[in-house]
Amino acid sequence: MAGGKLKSLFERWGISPIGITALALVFFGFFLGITIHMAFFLLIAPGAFGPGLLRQLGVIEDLDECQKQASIQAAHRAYLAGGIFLTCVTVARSWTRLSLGEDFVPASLVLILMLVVYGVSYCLSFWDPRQAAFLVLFGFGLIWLTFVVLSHGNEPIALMVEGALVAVPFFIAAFLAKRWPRVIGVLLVAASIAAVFFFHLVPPAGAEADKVFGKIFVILMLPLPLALMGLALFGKALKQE
Amino acid sequence: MSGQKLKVNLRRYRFEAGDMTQQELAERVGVTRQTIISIEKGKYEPSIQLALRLARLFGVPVERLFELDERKEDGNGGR
Repeated sequence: MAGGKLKSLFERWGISPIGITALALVFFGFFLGITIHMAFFLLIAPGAFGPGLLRQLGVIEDLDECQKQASIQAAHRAYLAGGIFLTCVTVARSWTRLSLGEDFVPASLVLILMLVVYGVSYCLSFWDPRQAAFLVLFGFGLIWLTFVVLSHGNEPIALMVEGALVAVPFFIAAFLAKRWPRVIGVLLVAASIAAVFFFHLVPPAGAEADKVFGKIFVILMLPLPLALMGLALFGKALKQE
Repeated sequence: MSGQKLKVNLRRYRFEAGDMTQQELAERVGVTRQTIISIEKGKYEPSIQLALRLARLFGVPVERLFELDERKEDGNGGR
C-alpha cells in the first residue's frame, strides 16, 4: 500500500525508478567512499553517467520531451562549467612554466575529450552526416595545412609534397563524402584503425601512465573523430538504402 | 530566436473539459505532470507532436491551445 503510494508520488513528480537508483548509487558511493573505502567511489560513475549513457544508446526511454530538453540543457551547462574550470586550472597551474608539463596531461585530456565529443556530436545533431563529415574533414585538412605551412613555409618543394600527402587527402575525402558516403565512411574507419597502428597508439602492457595519456591524447585528436564520422556516414548510407 | 511569446490556453480547455486535473491530462497524452505544469506556465514549448496530441484530446485545432502573442509581434515591427 505504502509502496504504491510512494510509486504514484514519484510518477506524479516525474521521478523514474532509474533516476532513484542512480541517485542512490551516487549517494552511497560518496558516503561509503569517505567512510569505508575509496573503492566505493566507483559506484558514483554508473549512478552519475549510467542513465545518460543508456539513454544515448537507446537502451532506456524513460524521459518525456520536457525532461529530455532539461537534460540536454543541463548537460550543456555542465560542459561549459567543466570546460571553463578545466581550462582555468590547466592554465593557472602552469602559468609560470610556459608548458603544460606531464602532470597536466590528464586535465588537458579531459578537456580535449569534452571538446571532441561536443564538436562531433553537435555536427552530427545539427547537420546531415554528409554535411557534418564534409565540415570535419575540411577542418582537419585546414589544420594539417596550417601545420605544414608553419613548418615548411620557406621550403616550397617540401611544402607542396607534404601538403599534398597530408592535407589534400582530407580535402578530397571531404568533397567525396557527399557523393559516396558509404565508401568514404568505410575508408575513414579503416584509416582511423590504420592510424592507431601506424602511430603505435596502442600502449604496451605496463607502460607508464604519462605515455598512456599521451597516446590517448593523440587518439582523441585524430582517429576518434574520423572513425565517428565514418560510422555516421556509413550508417546514414545504410538507412537510405 | 524570434522572441515572440507563446500564449497557452491549455488551462482553460482543461477546466472546460470537466475540471480535468494536470495529472489526468499528463497520463492521457503520455507525459509527466511536471511537463503539463511547465507548458501551462509558458516555461516549456511543446513539440508539434505533443501539441497535436493535446489538441486532439480536447477536440480543438492546435492554434486554439497555442497562439503567438500578437501584441509582442506588433512591438517587434509586425513583420
